[in-house]
Amino acid sequence: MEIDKLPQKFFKFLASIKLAVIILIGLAAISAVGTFYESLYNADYAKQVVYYSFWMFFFQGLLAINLIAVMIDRLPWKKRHTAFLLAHIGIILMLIGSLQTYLYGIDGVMVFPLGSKNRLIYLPQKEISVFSSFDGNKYTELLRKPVDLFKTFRKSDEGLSFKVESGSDLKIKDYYMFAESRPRITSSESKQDGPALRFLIEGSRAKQSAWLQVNKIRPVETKEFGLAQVTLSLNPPKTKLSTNEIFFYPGEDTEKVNYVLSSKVGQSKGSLQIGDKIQTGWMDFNLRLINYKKHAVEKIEFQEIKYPHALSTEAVLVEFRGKDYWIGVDQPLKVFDEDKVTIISYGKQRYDVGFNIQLKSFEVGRYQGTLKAASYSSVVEVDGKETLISMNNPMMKNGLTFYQSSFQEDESGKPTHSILSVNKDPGRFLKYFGSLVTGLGIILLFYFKKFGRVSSKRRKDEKDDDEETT
Amino acid sequence: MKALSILILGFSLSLLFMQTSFSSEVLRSIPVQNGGRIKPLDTLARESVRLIHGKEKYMKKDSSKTVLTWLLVPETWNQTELIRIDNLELKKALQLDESKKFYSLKTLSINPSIQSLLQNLNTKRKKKVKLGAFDQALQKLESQMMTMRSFQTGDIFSIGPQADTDAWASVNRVDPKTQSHFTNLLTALSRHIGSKESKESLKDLDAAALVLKNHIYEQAKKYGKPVNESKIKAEIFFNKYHMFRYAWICYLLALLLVFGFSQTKKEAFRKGFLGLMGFGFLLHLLGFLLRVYISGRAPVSNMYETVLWVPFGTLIFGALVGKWGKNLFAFVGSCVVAVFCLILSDLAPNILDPSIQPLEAVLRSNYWLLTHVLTITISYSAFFLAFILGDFSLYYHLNENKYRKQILDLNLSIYRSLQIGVLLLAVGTVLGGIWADESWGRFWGWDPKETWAFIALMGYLAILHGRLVGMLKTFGMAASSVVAFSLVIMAWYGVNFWLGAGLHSYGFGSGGVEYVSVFVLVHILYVIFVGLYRKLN
Repeated sequence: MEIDKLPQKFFKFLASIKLAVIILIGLAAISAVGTFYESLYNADYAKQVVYYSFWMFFFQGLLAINLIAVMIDRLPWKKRHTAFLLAHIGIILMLIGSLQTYLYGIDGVMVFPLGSKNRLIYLPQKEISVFSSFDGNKYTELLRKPVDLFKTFRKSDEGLSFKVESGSDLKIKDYYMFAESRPRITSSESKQDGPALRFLIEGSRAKQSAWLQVNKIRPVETKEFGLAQVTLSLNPPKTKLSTNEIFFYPGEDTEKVNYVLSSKVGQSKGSLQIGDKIQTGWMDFNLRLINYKKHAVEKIEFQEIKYPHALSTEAVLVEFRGKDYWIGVDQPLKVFDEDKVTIISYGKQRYDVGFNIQLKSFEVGRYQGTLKAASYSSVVEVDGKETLISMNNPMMKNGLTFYQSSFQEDESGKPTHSILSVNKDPGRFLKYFGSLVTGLGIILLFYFKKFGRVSSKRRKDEKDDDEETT
Repeated sequence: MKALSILILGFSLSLLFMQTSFSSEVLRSIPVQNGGRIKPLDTLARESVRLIHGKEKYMKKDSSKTVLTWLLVPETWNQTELIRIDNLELKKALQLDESKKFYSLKTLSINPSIQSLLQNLNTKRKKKVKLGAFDQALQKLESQMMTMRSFQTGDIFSIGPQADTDAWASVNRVDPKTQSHFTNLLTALSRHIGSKESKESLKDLDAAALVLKNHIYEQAKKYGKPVNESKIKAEIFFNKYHMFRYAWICYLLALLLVFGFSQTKKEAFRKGFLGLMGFGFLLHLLGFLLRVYISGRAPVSNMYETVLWVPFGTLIFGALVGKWGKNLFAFVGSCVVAVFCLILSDLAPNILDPSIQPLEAVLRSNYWLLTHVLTITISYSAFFLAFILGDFSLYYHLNENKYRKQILDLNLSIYRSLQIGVLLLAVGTVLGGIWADESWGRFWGWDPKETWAFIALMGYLAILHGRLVGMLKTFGMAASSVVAFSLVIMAWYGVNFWLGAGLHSYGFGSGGVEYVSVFVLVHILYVIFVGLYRKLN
């Protein structure tokens, strides 16, 4: 092979249909893998790992090069090249359009409770933020940084570190992409925290266990079981108990909890420690104390899981002032010290649309006689002007488009939140225009011989096959 | 030729008379509100019996009567082995007699394991976990039992139009007049059954049904939401005459005739083939038109409807491509596709649900939705044609020298079909982007349904480009059009029934994965076999 012919050969390869076939199959194969990832994990994960991966960009880039090269290779262009050029230019335009969308587009969600105002949308990207406050009303932002922890922790286990206040950094030490959160009640060192207990009620007809926990904010908690109820309170009972009730309250002893039991038989008093069992007198039910902590706090624990589900979340291990904490998405952590509170939060990036939107009303049309939604729409007020946003009828404002995308309802089927999808797509024009150009190209290529003859010197060995196009 | 006309005429006459039976037409046409629309009792009854029993009729009895007797004599029906369970795992979990197919409501109700299983299912549903085959079977059983109970209590009979709401009241909560009409109907029905379905008692039943029906119509009119009677009539006609079934019978007979033609070369056979195909096509079309009229929307909203729609397109493309190539292959190919799809839709009601369901909100009244789904599904038609022609061509490749002419004819038809398909799929995918942009503001979101349409497009573009440089010759074109159809199967069926994730979750179903896999696998083996055979010879 002569060295000076190499560039020429390389160009021929870049312009070759063989390369085109490889690229097409490559794109198809990667996308196929993506759909399996989506099915196994979720859409975000598939995007992170497949659709926006290096190889996807690589093949799309290669496709652009291939398309440009093949067009250069056909110079000088003749009339019969029209279709071929159009089909290929259109695809290049679409590629540029999608790149614009990827780089500069906004694809967010705005959630409104009924009747409320909002000006923030949530973006799919995540951020970490720290606020502090002395009085609980005014908050100072100490840190707000976009993070991509999936990428960070895929590269290395080192994690991230941010300067927040003099003397202590905020460190991000570990990250679970998919985790289940479980509240766990543990003993607390602080005498300020109230008691918690777990009991089991057992009879021939049913068996049930539950936790009760009280503190200064919620001094009484009651669980009802059919005709009976179990109560835990910070203080002894002041009013009369209902017929079938057991009322717990803490005593001096850290191991024992006091109770007053009422049933048809009458009232009795006493104290229980872990493992003790009493007859309740409500049919044949027993009550057993499974756990008791005089001072307890609820901690959220996270367990990593392999595949996500609707209720799973991301979890982040942060170190702050030398202590480790796990936090979930949009489940901020509050750290108290003598004079102030610091709030550390990991969640979706927020974007200020620059004006207030008030949700005036929200309506769901249902299919007759069912709870199935047939249509839904929001009436919003912006700058004193009311606008109706319904499915396929978006509102445009400041370069953003607001679409009615969905809603939330409570268990009785009453809508509680309206959800708008808010987008900015700077690549829209090129994508549409490119589609049109390509579509036109394909039609010319297939059905108008004059503009669509591809090559005159091809396939000697297949002459008898479809002369019409050659 | 004459013989053939007589055959067709005789066939169409038998169509009209075969199904005549002595049952109450009026009873069937009583309007009921169910599943988000007003439908005739006939439809509610057929759908419910199909759900519970797996067939549209129990013991070949009119389903409208059957479901009313569930209310009339609930105890008898509790003991009847009626509820169909297919899932073996579920039978095991419930410790049922596995050799049976049908179980009584009573056996199931007092089953010691069923409550805890259902509770378990409920937890999963609350957690929004994706349900596997077992849970889906359990969910179906739950709905079978609930449906049956709602007939026994009467709750499902929503026959009382209301002034202030769209929702009709069930017979237990309607005004006394409607209630007494309904009671009279039940009395007449029990007399009718007691008299061994005598003609006089049928008259009484008809009369009672008519009173109730007219009363419901009047009430509905009074409250300003009148019932569209011609739609009800159309639906009863549609239920009764199974147009799609007779269409596939026509197509199948047509295939027999074309086989006769290939053996004898007699022109009459060829004409008969085309005639029967045309007649089948008319029935097919009529079925479509009625379904569109009844549902008020394009017939491409679920798997069942697309399985009817795709062969419809294949028949049209077969005619187009066949004429261009002046050969019968495309016609025969499209006929095979039509028989295959229509039989499938007819015989697998448990997987392909034929009932007309309300649409998800995002799918309603949208021009782009309609055009993009119609365009994409009709591109599947063209690829299906290329696939079946590829199958034929592969067969001829076993003796390439002898069948040179056939192979070239087929090759051109395959190429034409692929061209049509690629154009439609490309346009349809872009239209899908426009629709998504209009609805959610994103042109492309890597949703699995759109991604697989994209993958199929890439695959077929690779084939057309490969052909351009001679990478694919006649065998390559035949083989690749067969193999690439797997991509269409994935986009069409696999995403909904197998991957089961993503925004397109409306239209999701389950079942049949094993059969479809075998179908794909057999074709890939066929391609490999022909390839190896050619190499060795």
